Amino acid sequence: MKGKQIQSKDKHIHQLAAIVANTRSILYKKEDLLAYDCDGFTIHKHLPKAVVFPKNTKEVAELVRYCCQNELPFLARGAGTGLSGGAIPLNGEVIISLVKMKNLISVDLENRRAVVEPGFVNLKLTNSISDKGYYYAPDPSSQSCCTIGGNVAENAGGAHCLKYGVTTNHILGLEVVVPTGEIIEIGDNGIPDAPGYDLLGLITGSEGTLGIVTKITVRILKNPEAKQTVLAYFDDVTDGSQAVSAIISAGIIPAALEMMDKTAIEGVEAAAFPVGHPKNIAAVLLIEVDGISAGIEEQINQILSVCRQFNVRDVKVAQDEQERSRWWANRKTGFGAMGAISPDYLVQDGVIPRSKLPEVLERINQISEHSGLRIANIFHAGDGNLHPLILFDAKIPGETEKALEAGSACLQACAEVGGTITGEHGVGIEKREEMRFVFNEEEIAAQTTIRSVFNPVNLLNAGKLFPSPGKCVEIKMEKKAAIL
Amino acid sequence: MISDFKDKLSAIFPIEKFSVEEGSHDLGNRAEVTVRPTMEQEIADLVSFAHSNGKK
Amino acid sequence: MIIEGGGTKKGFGGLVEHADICLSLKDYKGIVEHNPGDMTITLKAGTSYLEVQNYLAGFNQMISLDPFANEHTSIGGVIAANDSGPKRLGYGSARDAVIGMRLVYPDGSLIRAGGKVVKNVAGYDMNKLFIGSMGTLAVISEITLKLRPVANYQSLVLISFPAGNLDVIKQFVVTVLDSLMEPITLELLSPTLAAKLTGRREYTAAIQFEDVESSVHYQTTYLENLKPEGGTFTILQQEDANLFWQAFYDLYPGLNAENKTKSAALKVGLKNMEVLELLEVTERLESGQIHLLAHGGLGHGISQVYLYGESDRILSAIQEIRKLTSAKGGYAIVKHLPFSERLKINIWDESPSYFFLLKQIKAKVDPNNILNEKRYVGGI
Repeated sequence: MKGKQIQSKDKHIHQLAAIVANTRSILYKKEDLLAYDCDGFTIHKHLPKAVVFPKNTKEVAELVRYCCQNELPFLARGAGTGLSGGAIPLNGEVIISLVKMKNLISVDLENRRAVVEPGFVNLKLTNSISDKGYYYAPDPSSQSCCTIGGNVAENAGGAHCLKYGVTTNHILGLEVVVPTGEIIEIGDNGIPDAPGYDLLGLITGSEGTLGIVTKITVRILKNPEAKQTVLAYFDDVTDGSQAVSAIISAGIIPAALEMMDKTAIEGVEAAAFPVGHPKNIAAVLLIEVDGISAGIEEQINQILSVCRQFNVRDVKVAQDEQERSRWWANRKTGFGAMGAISPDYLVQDGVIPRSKLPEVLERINQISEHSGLRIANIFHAGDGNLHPLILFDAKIPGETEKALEAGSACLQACAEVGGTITGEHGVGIEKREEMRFVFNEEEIAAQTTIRSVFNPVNLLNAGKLFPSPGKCVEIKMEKKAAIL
Repeated sequence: MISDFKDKLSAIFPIEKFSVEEGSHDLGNRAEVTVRPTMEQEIADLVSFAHSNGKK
Repeated sequence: MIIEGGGTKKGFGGLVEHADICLSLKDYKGIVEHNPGDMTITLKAGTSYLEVQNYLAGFNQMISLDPFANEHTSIGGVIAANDSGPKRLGYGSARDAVIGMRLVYPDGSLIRAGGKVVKNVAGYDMNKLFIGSMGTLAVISEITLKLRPVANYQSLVLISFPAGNLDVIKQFVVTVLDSLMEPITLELLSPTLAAKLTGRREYTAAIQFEDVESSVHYQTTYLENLKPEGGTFTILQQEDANLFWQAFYDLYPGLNAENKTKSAALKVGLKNMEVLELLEVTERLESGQIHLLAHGGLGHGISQVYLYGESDRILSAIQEIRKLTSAKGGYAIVKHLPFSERLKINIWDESPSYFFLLKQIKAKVDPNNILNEKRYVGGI
């Protein structure tokens, strides 16, 4: 063993340190563990038992087997940028951090795939292959620091998933340590449709409850020949949202189709990357098309004519790459920008059928008035993925609870029009109870049955994703009482 | 045996919705009885019938 | 019990000669909901796939799948068998198109998976379990799909490679794949298949473009300049391209009444460039006793091989093909074969190393083993 001596009386700490064979690959002192008591969802906090940093699959499997044999709860963590609390050690878990497994194992341009370790940062993959004209499509806003392993756990999306799909559409193979410690390889060689139930699709987006991914084969794409970006300003939100549907109905699938409302515009204009959006505007659309250069102009013309049809006040086409980048920086830093107009904010992640946008925005407006909290709306309008940002001040007693309630009400509004409670941030801890807005008890049981196949003792990331059974019995009893 | 099970079936399904043996013999995937539901509830009834009567 | 839609996949899997009940979804059909503005559609499982595509064409929309289908083929069958054709290069496959399902579980309960929106990470992505599961876990009752707009224009380029020199083909394909062009298909047809479709017994690449008109012309011009020496270059535009594809899908043995019984079909998975080696093998196996047609996607690695002849010849040809796939870490699934022959061969090829998980999933979801017994991988 290298480095300092382990100063702990806990035998498990010594054993875990032995597995990773380096005393610097384990944290166990309270002051070191504090940084791991939450992820990007900061409302719940809990200290882990320890944080270990394995270097390879074998160590991960050994750690998992050790935790199993000793009934220690455990979970996997990437960069900790998740927004729903999936990596919070609710049960004092041993955190298996994958940040040291950060190699790009191979790139195969001919067959359009790359193999990475889970700790490899999302944007680094594109940076590693961009000189050859290739990129990795899923682009969550946190892509400069989030890991591909974390993206697989959350089935991460991003602004450009309207045309290119989310993480699950780009995963060809996974090596997984299942909760009992076996190492399995799914999609050997990255060949699609291998015989057998699609575990690749099942594990992607399972929020770290079915196994720990230790190697990932992803699809890589060729850069589009050309792209063009448009800003369109609307005086009426309904006009803006109808334009969104009309653009897609016209036969164009934009690479991205983003929308911000008045409050969101106020935020981004007060923050680090203002671009001079007019102040009194109801909605701005940021539209990007990409593809074959010869077809771009025709598509842009169609988009402009659709916008005019829906009473656009003003449209601008980006004149150069610099302008395009500024517009995207303005949008991609949108969540953080709320800090410029509010001490705290809570971001939600509902999805609705596109056509219900005006109706749901009106509901969110009512929720805002009812709660007395301002709500800004930033969304991936093309695929109906809303991010209401509830602005509040945690220092005012009771306001955090109010914000949580308002967030939940927004999700209920989404569910009621046929939508869902999360499009890309995951359920985690945050939206466990809201799962009931979209699934009944039998449907949740169907999912936990699948979990029990992989994770029979439920030591891996327990308490996430599904509502607590206790609560569900209570609700049932309340319902019964109401009927009686 | 077969008739007993068909009697049971006909108790839950209108008779015009099932027929006996059809389809190509060479390709297999044949059955004693074919049932053609038109509603989801009928599918559910049929599946639970099979589930609880050990029919495959 | 066995579950059936239009009955076009009777030759796909299944080792039980006689089930007690056949649940036919033929009469369980219709559009439950189509929201043109949201570009989603919900269908009952027995709905005819081609009828829906025709209906959607009236809205300039389509289901972005291209299975081997005829008028009997149901959407439920397409999804349960995870069928796809050459256009999956541009469109993706069933796992990319299905956003929600209603399922009847073996105990009779109704379970919804996914939803009606195109982006959804609430809970496990349960849809994935049922796509391609051959009805062994639940009866698919309804399917919700996301739709794509029909492109304004389409052209299909056919390029034949006279000498049959695979290096020339590979060079060409690598250049196309590395270019900025965006083909919807990059399908290589074996000389025997090309002979049937184009009259020229030569390796032929079928490359489809779908986009606004200016972009399609730009891309076909690019290909014309890239055309190998001595090769022929044909462009089929708009409806002509459709007619070619129609003839192409119609060749699938499961759909063709007259040769259903002395034929077989394989779905082969390999790495993209290994498709060339597969087609070389099928060309080599062609003889007076056995006839093979083959095509494969050089951008996605999935190929189909059709075999015609006496059953022992067919079985030994399948073994030959599996020598290649197993050496390359790929697979060859037998999609169509008469019942008596299915007993002599492992339809699903080798079971994966994680088969223990698949078996447990089946055992938990369908404990009495009533749905499509022995129709799937490893006897599930």
